[in-house]
Amino acid sequence: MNEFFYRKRCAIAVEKKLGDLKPFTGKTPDDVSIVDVDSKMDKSFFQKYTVKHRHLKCEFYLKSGYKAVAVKRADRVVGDIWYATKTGSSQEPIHPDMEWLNLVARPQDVYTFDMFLDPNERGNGMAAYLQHSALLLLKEKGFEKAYGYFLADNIPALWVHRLLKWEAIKKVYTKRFVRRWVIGEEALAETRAAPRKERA
Amino acid sequence: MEIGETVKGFIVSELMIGKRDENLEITFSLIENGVVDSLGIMRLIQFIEEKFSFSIEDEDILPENFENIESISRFIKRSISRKI
Repeated sequence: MNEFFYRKRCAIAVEKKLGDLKPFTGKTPDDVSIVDVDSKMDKSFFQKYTVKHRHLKCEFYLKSGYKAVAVKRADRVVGDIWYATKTGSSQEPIHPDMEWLNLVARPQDVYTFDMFLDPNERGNGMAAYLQHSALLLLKEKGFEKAYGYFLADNIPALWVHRLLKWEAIKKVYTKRFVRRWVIGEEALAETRAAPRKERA
Repeated sequence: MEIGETVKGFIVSELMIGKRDENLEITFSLIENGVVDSLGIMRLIQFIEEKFSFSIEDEDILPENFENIESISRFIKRSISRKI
């Protein structure tokens, strides 16, 4: 027997002006370093990820033209955050999320997305450290404003964005249409329906 | 038990494992010292909601409300009085 229902979630689009970004004042994790990741990275870099499946995603992102800032503990890559920028005079959205969030990027803007941390590295201040370090690096590269989003029910993400003083600019509600196979309690399909956009 | 003492008890026993400090000052910065991080805030919110029987809205999850035991206590008192 199939059961159909909608799951409603709220995404909060945020922006951060990079001009007034100060050095990181939180607790810096021990033995960590920041790496600027682009398509020129040596293949061996990806083998240093502590979480195996993550490097496949990284290779896909690099092929798509995105770049990243990664964090290493000792010699192992334990997390990263990705970003997209405007190239040339293209009028295309720099990332599908920006179209979905109805945001328009200028050449001096950057869209950050898909931050990942090895589960063993969560809960020790690493998330704030990585995100802050990434923003500082983007500021050094000359970007003026960063965009991103997080889901309102994702408390850790909400907390990191609030700590780093991202400003909420709008809320976007998504409806996920879920079909569930009730007997086996197994979700069979999940597709995203058109989002309803609302101003915060 | 006073609100501050209840919160302190939870923080010392659950969020400061390995670095317990029974003499934790109420103005000790929980954020700067990494006690309330992205996972710590989740556990703290869950504890407060269950212990004091109110729901914490997204808008209230702000660093100034969870900076130290003093600010957490103030936030709880404010939330309880709003509920009544």
